Amino acid sequence: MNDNLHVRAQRLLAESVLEGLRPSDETWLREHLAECPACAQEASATQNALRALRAVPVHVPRDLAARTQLRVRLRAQEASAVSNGSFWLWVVTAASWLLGVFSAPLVWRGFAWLGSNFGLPKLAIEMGFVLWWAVPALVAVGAVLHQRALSTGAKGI
Amino acid sequence: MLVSRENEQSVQLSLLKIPAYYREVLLLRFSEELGLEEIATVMATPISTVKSRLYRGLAALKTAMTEGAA
Repeated sequence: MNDNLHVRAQRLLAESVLEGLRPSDETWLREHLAECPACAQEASATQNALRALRAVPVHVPRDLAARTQLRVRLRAQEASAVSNGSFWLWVVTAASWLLGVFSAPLVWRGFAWLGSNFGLPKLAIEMGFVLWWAVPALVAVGAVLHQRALSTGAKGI
Repeated sequence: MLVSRENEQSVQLSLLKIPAYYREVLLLRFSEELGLEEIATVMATPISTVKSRLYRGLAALKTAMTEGAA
């Protein structure tokens, strides 16, 4: 029998107990195990290991295990919420950046118009233009840092 | 599932023979029955790392159990 078949069988065996298999893979594995004693023995050893693992007593108070599981689930939900929040933060940042790039000539003309009408020094106009760009970026950095601080605080519970 | 005291000790010994990071994911998955994402959150590691540790940990446990039985 081809060695690749055994390698595939080993891989599918591990997948079957850890993640589950597609029906076609499951059928193939069942047929292979029926005709390959070595892989069938490997499957039996895997099942024995899992049975033993599930039967191993974990000596912790029952309420502690329940509280730990609850905390784990809450943390998983928080991680998911933070992930969704990050996505929208990136969308808003990208939109803001594009808007900033395309509106830059207009903003520059606006500052130049203000400078010429109110007699402002060139340095003030340039500083105003730089701040126009920097303030939104600084606000975005602040939002990201704040979000990270919140998620770090949640992990520390 | 009933497991004899002797078998239980053998499993405990086999678990002690494998690296701690394999032992942790195996116990969280099969004893505590947590999902892959939950384990990744608890251990602060990517799911891909959890998966690879489960695959390797299971293989290491089988080897340790076979050696223990021999």
